[in-house]
Amino acid sequence: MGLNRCLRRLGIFGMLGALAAVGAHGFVGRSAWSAIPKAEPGIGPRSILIGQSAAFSGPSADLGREFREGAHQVFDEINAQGGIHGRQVVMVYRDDRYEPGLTVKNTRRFLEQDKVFALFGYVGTPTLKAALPVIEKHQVPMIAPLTGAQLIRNPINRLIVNVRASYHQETEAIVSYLVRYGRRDLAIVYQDDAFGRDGLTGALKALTKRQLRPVSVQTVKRNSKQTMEVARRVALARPDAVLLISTYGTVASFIKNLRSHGNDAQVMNVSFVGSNALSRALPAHLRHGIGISQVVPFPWNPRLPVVRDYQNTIRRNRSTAKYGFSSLEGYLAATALVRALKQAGPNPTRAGLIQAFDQLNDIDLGGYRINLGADRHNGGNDVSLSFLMGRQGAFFH
Amino acid sequence: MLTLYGLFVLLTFVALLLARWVKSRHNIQLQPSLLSPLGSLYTLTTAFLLSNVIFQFTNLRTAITQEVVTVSKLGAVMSVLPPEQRVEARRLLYDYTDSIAHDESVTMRLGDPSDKTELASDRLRNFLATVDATPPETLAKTPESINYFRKVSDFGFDLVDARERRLSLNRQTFPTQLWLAIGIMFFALALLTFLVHSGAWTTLWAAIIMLLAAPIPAVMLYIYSNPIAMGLIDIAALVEAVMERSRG
Repeated sequence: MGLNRCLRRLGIFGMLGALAAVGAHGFVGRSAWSAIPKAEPGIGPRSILIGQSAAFSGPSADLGREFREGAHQVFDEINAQGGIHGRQVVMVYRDDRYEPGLTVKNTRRFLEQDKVFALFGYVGTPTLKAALPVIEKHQVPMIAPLTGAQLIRNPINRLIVNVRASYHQETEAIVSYLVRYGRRDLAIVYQDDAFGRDGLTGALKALTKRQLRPVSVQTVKRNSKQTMEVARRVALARPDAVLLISTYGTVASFIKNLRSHGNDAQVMNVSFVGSNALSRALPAHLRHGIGISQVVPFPWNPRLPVVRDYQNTIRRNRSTAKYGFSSLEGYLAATALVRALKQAGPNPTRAGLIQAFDQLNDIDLGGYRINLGADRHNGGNDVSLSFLMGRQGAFFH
Repeated sequence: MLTLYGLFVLLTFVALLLARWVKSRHNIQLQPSLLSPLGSLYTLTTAFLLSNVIFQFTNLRTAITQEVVTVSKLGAVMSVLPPEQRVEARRLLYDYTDSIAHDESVTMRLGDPSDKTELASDRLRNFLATVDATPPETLAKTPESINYFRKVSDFGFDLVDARERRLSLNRQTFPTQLWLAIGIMFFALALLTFLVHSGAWTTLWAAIIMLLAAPIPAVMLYIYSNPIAMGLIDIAALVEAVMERSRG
């Protein structure tokens, strides 16, 4: 609670600071306009304004909070070191509760009212899909959204930079593992929106590749916990495994209902479920054995340099942040953004930022590779599997 | 445990009543020195039995500790396997571990093994016997990967041994005949105590003290001879703790 309040305050102060900086720039502009080139929106003499719309409240709130927490570690550290080319990175957050209508409204306010330089870390496929026309209209870069959907990958959208693997890559890894170890009767439960359908397409593709078909395909509503009937239908199909494409609140409810039908099928999820949040949402006795595909390295493995940096940064910032997958994804996304902003030079433009990302060819962040280019805006390809073990909610991989 | 305590309290009470009844009918005078050999015999017997069950309890606790250490080692050496093999190997290992914590810890209270844990153990052993538990030949030679080849099989067998040791140590119960012997000896001691001491010893307070304190060695024997059922060893907590620490 305290952390949230603190972060909210950071967001508000950050925004005020940025607006002051923009105001100052306006003043400089009036007095010596000819000496200073016209700056991009969101670029002040001392600040770079970045906007993030995500779920910070509601049934999927932990996804946005954890990602923001991880990203903040990088921004706090870089700001403490003097910023990027003398400018502080200032984040403006708006809560969309994982509802597309609110995302559109937030994006408009970012671009028309706050005048942000770039958008960053939007959480979710349906939310991002709804905001895309606004992003296109304003030609603003969207960096590292927390979604693995194809709609922002294929075809390539020059404005969108992805640093994580796609849902299709995740479902391929899950199906490959399940089939290898003899679980061929797979049921699929997907969220009835762009995210769920994207995951479903990926799963069907992976199954078709192995000449298999799902034994049951069911849908659940976004942010819903009404899963009893769906669980009953899945239990009737008696699958070896169930692939869930939804967020932690819905998934936790589904698992409870599935187990209440006496079904002990292996449950697998894609990364967007929110791993730590799912562990917290499940009753202790139902945690063990739940599988989740991951698109970032294991956050508790300090042998990997990037994870060691992540853990050290949290310690250096004296943050109360807990290690986690979404948090590490935020950290990696922010690290990539900071690299690109540095590369974009002292007078960054939106187009320059995209070009800077294009130059991040095969960059090793310390065990996590980002491979971007003018014709390649899907920078990350790492997918691994993790499982919850015991009743404490610890992970193994 | 309360039943046992109550039973011994009842024995003491019966001894007290019997002593008073005898004293009211017959004017018997017993020498207090008679208490000494019987008291010594009772003390020595209970002390010997108590040290025996505590020794057994210590062995059981050591066996469980060794078992969780083996789980931890096995989980660690599996890190050299390629991702898909590694997660399957660890999943089977921790399924087995979780089953010890939440299935076998319950059946062990009655001295029985768990079928679920048996199944999980078989699955793990079967996996360790397949090529799936073998890293590819292309695996880089590191101290850990070399260690894996040498140790994984040993740890697999160690795990089976550790379970057997835990189950057999848990199965040793305190024989009924010994309980009967202790009960008789306790009753004789209580009766003699009440008979030897006249007047003050049979006052209410003295009787209450005897009633409350005398059954304690028997209760301790009972607790230490059933350490899992009595909660002296919390297998679930021990195993959960090792899983929490094995994160990775």
